[in-house]
Amino acid sequence: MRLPQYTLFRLLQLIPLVLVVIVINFVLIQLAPGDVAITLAGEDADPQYMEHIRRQYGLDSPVPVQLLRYLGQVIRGDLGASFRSREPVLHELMSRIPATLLLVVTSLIIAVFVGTWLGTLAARRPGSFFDIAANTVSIALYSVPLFWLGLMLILVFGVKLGWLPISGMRKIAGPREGIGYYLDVLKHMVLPVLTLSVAYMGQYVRLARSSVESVMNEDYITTVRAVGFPKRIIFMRYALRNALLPVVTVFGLQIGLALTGAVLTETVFTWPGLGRLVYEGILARDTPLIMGSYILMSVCVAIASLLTDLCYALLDPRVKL
Amino acid sequence: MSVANTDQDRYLLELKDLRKEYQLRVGLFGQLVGRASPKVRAVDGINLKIRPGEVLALVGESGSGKTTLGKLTCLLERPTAGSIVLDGRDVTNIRGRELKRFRREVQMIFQNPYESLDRRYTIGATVMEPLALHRIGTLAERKERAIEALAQVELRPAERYFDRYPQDLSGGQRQRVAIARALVLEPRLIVADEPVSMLDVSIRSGIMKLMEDLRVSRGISYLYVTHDLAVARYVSDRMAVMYLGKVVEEGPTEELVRAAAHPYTRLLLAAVPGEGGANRKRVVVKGDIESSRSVTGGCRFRSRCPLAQEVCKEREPALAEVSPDRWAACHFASEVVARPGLDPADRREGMRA
Amino acid sequence: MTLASRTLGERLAGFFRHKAAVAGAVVLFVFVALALLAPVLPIASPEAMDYMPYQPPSKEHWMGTDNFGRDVFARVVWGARLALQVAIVSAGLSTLLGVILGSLAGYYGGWLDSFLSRTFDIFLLIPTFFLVILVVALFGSGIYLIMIAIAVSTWPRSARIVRAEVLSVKSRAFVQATLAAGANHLQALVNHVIPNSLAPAITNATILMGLAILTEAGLSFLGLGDPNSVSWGRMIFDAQRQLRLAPWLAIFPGMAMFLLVAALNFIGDGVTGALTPAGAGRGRRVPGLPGFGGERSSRQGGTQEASPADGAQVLEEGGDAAPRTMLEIEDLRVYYRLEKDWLRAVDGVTLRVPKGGSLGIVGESGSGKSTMGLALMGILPTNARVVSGRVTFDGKEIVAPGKSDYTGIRWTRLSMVFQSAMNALNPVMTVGRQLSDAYRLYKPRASESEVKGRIEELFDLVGIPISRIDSYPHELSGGMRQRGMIVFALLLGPDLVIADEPTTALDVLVQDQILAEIDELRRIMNLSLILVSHDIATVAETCDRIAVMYAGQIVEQGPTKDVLERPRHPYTSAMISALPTLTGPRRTLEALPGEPFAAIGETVGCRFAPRCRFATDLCRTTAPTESVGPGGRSSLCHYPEAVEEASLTARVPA
Repeated sequence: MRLPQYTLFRLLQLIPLVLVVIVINFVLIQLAPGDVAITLAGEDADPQYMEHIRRQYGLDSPVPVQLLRYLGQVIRGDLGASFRSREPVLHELMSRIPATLLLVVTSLIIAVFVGTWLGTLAARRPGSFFDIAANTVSIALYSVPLFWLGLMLILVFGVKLGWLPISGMRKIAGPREGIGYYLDVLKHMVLPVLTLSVAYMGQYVRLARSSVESVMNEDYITTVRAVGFPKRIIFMRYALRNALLPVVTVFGLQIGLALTGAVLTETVFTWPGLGRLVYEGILARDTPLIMGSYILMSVCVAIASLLTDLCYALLDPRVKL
Repeated sequence: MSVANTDQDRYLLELKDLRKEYQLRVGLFGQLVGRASPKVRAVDGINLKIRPGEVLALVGESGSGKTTLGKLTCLLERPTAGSIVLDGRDVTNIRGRELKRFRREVQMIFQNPYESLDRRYTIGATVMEPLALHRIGTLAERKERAIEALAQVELRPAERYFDRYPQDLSGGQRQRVAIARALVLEPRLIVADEPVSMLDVSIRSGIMKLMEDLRVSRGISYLYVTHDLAVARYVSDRMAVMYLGKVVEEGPTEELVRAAAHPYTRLLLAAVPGEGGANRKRVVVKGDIESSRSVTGGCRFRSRCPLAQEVCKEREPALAEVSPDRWAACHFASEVVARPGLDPADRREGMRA
Repeated sequence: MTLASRTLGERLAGFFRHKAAVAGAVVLFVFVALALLAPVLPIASPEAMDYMPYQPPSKEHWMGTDNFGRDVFARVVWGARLALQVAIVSAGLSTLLGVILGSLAGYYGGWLDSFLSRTFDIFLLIPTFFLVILVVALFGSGIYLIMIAIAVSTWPRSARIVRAEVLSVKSRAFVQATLAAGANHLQALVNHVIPNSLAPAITNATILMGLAILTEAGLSFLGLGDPNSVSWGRMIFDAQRQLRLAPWLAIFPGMAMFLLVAALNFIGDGVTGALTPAGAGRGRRVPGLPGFGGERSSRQGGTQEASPADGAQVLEEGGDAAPRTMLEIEDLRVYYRLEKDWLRAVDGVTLRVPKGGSLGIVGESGSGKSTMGLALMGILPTNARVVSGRVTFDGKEIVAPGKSDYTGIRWTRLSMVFQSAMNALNPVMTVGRQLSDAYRLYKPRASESEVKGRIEELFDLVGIPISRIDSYPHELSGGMRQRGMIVFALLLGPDLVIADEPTTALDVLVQDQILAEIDELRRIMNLSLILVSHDIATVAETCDRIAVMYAGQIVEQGPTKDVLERPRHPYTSAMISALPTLTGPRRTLEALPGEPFAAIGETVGCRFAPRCRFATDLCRTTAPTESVGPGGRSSLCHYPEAVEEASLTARVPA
């Protein structure tokens, strides 16, 4: 199966899946107790106003009609407007995505590289103190409650030591552009990125370690040992590529989930990201915002998973699309 | 065995025009693009008969379909077409209670002794399981029968083996347990799928002898599937050679081995390393069994056959009687069979003319 | 005698070896005890606002008091109750659903499986934490709803794990066997498939428990938790405001959570270790020994284990000056370190291979032939050790205890042909690339055309179409791959090649082709050959000398024809009589009692005595020494002549 056809096919598969996601979420929201109109108009609004609100937002129609109307909108690329801010949903989302991406992608990359590196080091010294320590520490790392870790870091570095800022993405009164701006953001990034990457790292250490170990036990490694390649070359050229395949898969998936990953961290550090926005939207029953963000996230995950599969197929000739 | 037993026309098992096709799965994409789903004909029109107390060896290389045929015979898989007749009853499509009854008459021994016993069950539990499944006897009676079966396969003292686990046993012992499990229902036919090929050489003969003893004492028939011709010769009364899903030759073992009527059989026989030393003339045959799959029209073997002629491309040879009770699917069978065969004294083979 | 059984006791021992897992179990026990006993413990009530607020930790209040004057320690203990409840119920529900649906989907396939796969895909797309947030925010934050929501968002993962395991288990022979015995599919599924598929689900369950605790805490931290329960997450949420002034309010609940979740994860890790079958780890593997991780897939059967060629034999009557010795092995001993003892895989082997000679080594499992091959090539696994003896190649010592010096020898003068199982060649590189890499390793300045030319020359010689240079190993048939391995071995024009079961996994006709080609190559290139095999007939045809190996020792060696016609060791004679033949009378085969033997620790007397029909008391008490006979033969038996006699009389036709 050739690449373009496969890609197209996968993209087409996306549509029914996203559709199901939309329907599920829409139905869930509708099923929930309570009345969206009350949330919008306020508890004490008079009934006439409520009726007006209902008609304005189309809440007086039956659910299936609302759903279809919504679907029609989405197909035209219109995600509606947020109930709270009245801004277009797409615009709201887009304004917050960069902050989240900055945080999550940076953390993931650090976690992947450092974690994989440590894992492979451990695999090459099986049973050594380093190996056992690495295993123990990585399990501990992914057991840590993320938000608690963030708070602890804030406590140590922000409060007690005062080295680093503890909230927001930049100083309110700080520079808005230029080197000063970037440095400011960087300073603000340190703690949240540290928190997130610690949380991600543990699994990569373990994954890399077990993957490398199993590859080193394969028959073809024995063959090249017999031929006489030096250990370093065996590892770099023969073992590593095969061992990295599982890491690539997991990494791809997590990048796809990047937009969804940081709500807790954003809350702790008051980082103006997408996760926080969606969370507030959920609390406020801001239906268009919730639906829009779910659609966006689902599409991202699907595309990321497609790219991961393509990457995998490129790396491993045994895989036939 | 070469004289037709007219008084014993009753066969224990008959396979009539048996076929088994597998569909290779084509993903959703392929279906959209209109790709036809390829079929693999693992078993392609097999006719075989086994008499009570007889051992029929099914010989072939990998890809010949012999293992599939073994599974069809004990109804672990269902044929796509054709029928299976046990003792005069058509059992091809039976289910439920009838199928259970069938299972008491036809049993199977598997190739891998390290995989055919569930590691979580004791030996005793494993051997008793068939009895429990068929609700035969009380727990005490089942235990007794199981112990008896273990003793019969020479695992003594049987009581000690009863509570052990497969991990405590060697390969040969595990295979004996598998035989005991097959015996405990007192079947009339046992399908043995390469029962000794994963065992050490010094152990094999013990298992083969055991199977033979059981045949004599209990009158069990065997369908013995193997790739090893020497083993096939030793254990069987009759032999059928398979190639890509079809039987290419069939007949009494000794006759067949001494003077085969199909080129493929001759090549197989010639390829067996002997203890005669380096004098054996090597066989030269092209390609491997996989390359034959793409051959269309005529005889499937012709791309590798040293005797291939025009007619082989035009017409597929049918399985025909070359001499009483000797069958072969080759246009030149009568010539092949007439060539000098395996000389007991030395190992030169008449194929290498 | 079994070396591989894992009784319950051994499994527990395996678990306990993971000290962290034990520590985890202890911590978990403490938490569970505290949680269960909380109502009766002499601690404050978690809701009682009786104390001075904002007290730092002290003797009266181990963890201080919070903003409402409640004792923090008591609240932490009660928080454990909630956490454990959430963990057990969510993980339990999720695993239960996962096991049921996953095993049904995996076993029966069909529409259920398709449906389940689609569900997996959908759940993958939905951000599950947000789903839980959504459900909780919309439908209220009762603790039961939270537990169910967590279970619902995680069951696809459990199901997928179980499904994968079921798929692999259901095709295994013991499942087929129970069906053949009369079980219906449901019985097979419940009695055999599911019990054998649970291991990864159990590990997953421990991970899920930790995840559930963290998720609930996260929800509480976001303000969505059950307001009526004491939750660690909620405590931390409340503590945020006072982080500077009363940091202990945030530290202790979080620490408790960390400890509990870490304990669960360490236990999960230990469980995986205990459930992994013996021999999987590198430490315990012994190549070629079943039960020690040494099984290799061999399609047409046959046990693996290449015995390295034992020894080379000096050609006897030749008249002229004896040709020079290519390889000499002197009293080589290679042992494997097991937990409590040494496995004596190679135990005092002395052999010689002359230039141009061919030696076959025959042995069954446990004979040590695999290990010999690895020892000769200097690629023993890390748990093996050359304990004594040495190996010399063309006068140069290459192997000795603690020494492995192959400079100038490795692959350029001494190489190996491996059994061409699917993974003997790197699956992600083309054959040509691997070959040229190897070539350039020793001839770094070779030009592109030189390398290509050499490869093409060899491909031609062994009969591989040149186009296959750019194929991947999985695109080649078994026979082609084996030829590829041969080309690999011959690449640099060695003087001696060790062939380790080169044809075992191949079809009969292809086997014959390959052996013929090896023979031919040997003559063309004047190679010395050591052929290791379990199949005496193969060796008999290809080698001019044969050495029979049993339990780490050479029990007999000599010119092939002589040895096979007049064996001077009961094992050799038994092996020969145990082989069915195509020619000759259809005689009864000799059955050898007992099992092949691998020596662990000290042995008394002759190693073959327990199975030998000639064995006497002497055999059982005293190990035999090598008796050298005429014609370059030797045998490790007390009664070689008697054996020779017996084998001759047996041959006399009745």
